[in-house]
Amino acid sequence: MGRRVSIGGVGYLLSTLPLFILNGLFYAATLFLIASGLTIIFSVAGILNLAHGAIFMLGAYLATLTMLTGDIRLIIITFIIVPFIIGLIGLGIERGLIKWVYDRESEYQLLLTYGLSLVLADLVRMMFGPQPISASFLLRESGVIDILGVTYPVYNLIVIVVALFVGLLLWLFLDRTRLGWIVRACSFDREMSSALGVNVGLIYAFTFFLGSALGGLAGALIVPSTVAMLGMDVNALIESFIVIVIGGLGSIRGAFIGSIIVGLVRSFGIYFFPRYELAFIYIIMAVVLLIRPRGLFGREYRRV
Amino acid sequence: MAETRRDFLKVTGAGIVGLAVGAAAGYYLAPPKIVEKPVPQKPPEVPKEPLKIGVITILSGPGALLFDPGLKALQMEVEKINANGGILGRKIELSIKDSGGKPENSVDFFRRLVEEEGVEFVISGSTSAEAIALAPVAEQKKQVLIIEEGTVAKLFEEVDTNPKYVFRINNYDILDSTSLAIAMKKIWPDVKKFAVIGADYAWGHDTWDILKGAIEKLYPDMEVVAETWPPLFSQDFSSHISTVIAAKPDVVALVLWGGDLVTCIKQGVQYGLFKDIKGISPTGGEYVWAAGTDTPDNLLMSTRYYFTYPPWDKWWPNREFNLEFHNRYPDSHGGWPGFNCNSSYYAIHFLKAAIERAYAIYGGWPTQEQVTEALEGLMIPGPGGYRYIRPEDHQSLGYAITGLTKQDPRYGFAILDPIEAVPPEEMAPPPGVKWKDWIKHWGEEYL
Repeated sequence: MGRRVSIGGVGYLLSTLPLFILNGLFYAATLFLIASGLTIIFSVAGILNLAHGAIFMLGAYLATLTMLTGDIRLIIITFIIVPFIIGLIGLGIERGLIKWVYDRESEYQLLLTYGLSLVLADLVRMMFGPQPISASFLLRESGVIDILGVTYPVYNLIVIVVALFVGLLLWLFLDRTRLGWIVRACSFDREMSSALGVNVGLIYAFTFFLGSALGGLAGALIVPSTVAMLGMDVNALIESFIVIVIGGLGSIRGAFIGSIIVGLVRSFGIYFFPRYELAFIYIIMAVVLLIRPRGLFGREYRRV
Repeated sequence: MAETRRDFLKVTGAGIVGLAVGAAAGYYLAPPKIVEKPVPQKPPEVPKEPLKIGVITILSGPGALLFDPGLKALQMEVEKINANGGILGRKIELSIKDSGGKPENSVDFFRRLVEEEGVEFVISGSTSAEAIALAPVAEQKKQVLIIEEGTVAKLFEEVDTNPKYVFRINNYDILDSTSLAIAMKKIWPDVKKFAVIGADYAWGHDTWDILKGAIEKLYPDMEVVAETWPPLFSQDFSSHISTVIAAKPDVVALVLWGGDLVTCIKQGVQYGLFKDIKGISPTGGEYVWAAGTDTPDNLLMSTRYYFTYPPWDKWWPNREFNLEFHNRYPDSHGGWPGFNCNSSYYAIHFLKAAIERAYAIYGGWPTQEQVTEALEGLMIPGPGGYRYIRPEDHQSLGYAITGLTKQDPRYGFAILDPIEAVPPEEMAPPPGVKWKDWIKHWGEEYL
C-alpha cells in the first residue's frame, strides 16, 4: 500500500507529466534562490552560514506584513523591499559578528552561525507569535489555469519565472560586471585579490548582503502559497545544503542544476515511492558524491 | 502413648495458662505509654506560604503554537483562582520551564523543579515522547504529575501500566480518530477509497494506523489507494496533492497539524483537490483558524475541544463554564481558546478539586498520596463539559468533537459546524485493554 504503481496510475502520470514536472520546478525555484544565497556566501567568504535558513524564514514573516493588507501595489513592492531589508540584516550580521571569526577554526564559525539561527528563530517567535501566518492574497488573486485538464495555480508559474529571471540576473552580474569579477576573484584567491588592491572585507560584506537578500526573496516569494511558520528554516537549510553539495559547493550553476534535480526527483519520488520521499534526495546526493566528490560543478577548493 | 499424650496436654495446658497469665501480667504491668489512650493525630496545618506548581511546556520552536495558548489559559486560571483566595487559602505560584520539546530537557526540569525548587505538583504540557520519558520518573519520585498533552496511547498501555502518581487529563489519540470515523460513517456512509497525506513522524503514522483501523471496522470494504508522507514543516505539498488526485480516492485524510495542515489545505484548494474528493482531518479543527478564509467548506474534522461546544445557550453550566472561559480568553489574550487551553483549565482545576476533596476527608494539607486518591474518579465541570478521571488507568475522558468546516464571517475563519459530540465511552478502550485488541470488536453498532 505504501507504493502504488497501478496501470491507471502510470496512465495518469503520462497524461499529466507536465504537471509533475511543474511541481518539481516550483519546488526547485525556491530551493534555488535559497541555495544560491548559501553558496555565494560560502564561495566568497568561506563561511557555511547555518543562519541562512532563519534568514529565509525572516523574509517570509516580513513579507506577510504587507501581504495581509491586500494592497496590490504594496505587495509588488514587497518583493524589492523585503530582500533589501533582509540583505541589510545579513550585512549587519557579517559586520557585527562574522567578521571576527574569519580567521578562526571552522568549528567557531559553525557554532556562531548556528547560535545565530536559534536567536533569529526566537526573535521571529517574539515578534510574530507562535501561530502560523497565512497570507494568500496573491495566490488567490492570480487564480488557476487548466493544464491538460488539470488545475494548476498561476502563482506557481510566477514563482518559477521569477526564479529563472533572478538566476539569469545573477549570472549576468557575476559574469559580465566588474563587481561580479571582483567577487569571483575573491572567491578564488583572497590574498591575491587583496594584493591587487581589492578591499576584501567590503566584498565579504557585500556577498552577505547579496546572499541574504536572495534568501529573503525566496521567503517572500514562497509565502503566498504556503504559510510563514516556525520550523520552516530547518528544512530550507538542510535541503538547500543538499542542493549545493550535489551541485558543487560555491557554484551558482551547481545550485541551479542541483535544485532542479532535487525538485524533479522529489516530485516523481513522491508519486512512485511516497514512503521514501526524503531518502531519495539523500540517495541522489550520495551517488553524486561517489561519482564526483566535489559535486557536479565543484572546483578544486583552496582556502588560505 | 495415652499417658504421654496426657502429659503432653498437661504440659501444654500449663504452658498456655502460664503464657496467658504472663500476657495478662505483662498487659497490666506494661509501661504507661501502651495503655495510654490513642490520641487522634493532629492534622498537618495548611502551610502559609504559596503553593508552588511546576509547569514544563514547549515555548520555543514550532511546537510553541500548540502550547503557548495552553500556558496563557493556565496563567489566566491561576490568576482567577488566586483572586478568589487560592487553594485552601494558598496562592498558586507557577514555575514555568521551556523544554523545547526535548524529552531529556523535560526530565531534567522535572528533577530540578522537585528537588531544588521544591514544587508540590508538576503539570506537563508536552509531546508524547516527553510524557513517556516523564511518567516513570514521576512514579519513581512519588510525585504527582498531570499530563496535558502527550496523547500517545502507549503511555498507559505500555509505559506506565499501573499508574499511581501520573494522570492524563485530556482526550488521547484513539478518540481523535474513532470519533472522526463515526461522524464520517454518519454523513458519508458510502465512501470506499481512501488516501492519506500524513506527517512523516511518529504521531502521523500512529494516528493513521488508528484511523485506518477505525475506518476498516466501519467500512469493511474500504481500500487505501494512495499514501504520501511529507516530512514535518514542508513548504510544498503540490506533488503529494497531485499524487492523491491521480489515485482518485473518495476521501483524503490530512494527518497533519499546525502550519502543515494550513499549507496543504491552501494548496489543495488551488489544485482542485477538494472538488471531487472529501477531506477529513483528525484534530484539525482549530489549526484551520490560521488559514482564515482559505479553508473550503465541508471538510470533516475532529478535535478534543471546540470553543462553541457545549452550546452556550443550552444549559446553565455551559454558559457558566464555556462561554465565560471563551469570553475571558479573548479579552485577555486576543484569540480563541483551543484544546490545550481547555486541558490547562482541567489540569489546574482537577488539582484544586482534589486538594480540597482530600482536605475535606483527611483534614489538613494533603500528602501526594492523598491527592492521587482524591484525583481518582474525580469529575468536574469545565469549558468542555464534565470530565472524569478513570480510577483504573488515570486517563480522563471527555466528549470528542467533530464537525464540518463552514466559513463564518463573524470569526473570519471556518468553524466546525454542525458539531457532533460523541460520548467518550464509545470511542476509547476500557481501562487495561489495548486499543489494538479493543478495536477488533468496536463499531458494530455504527454499521
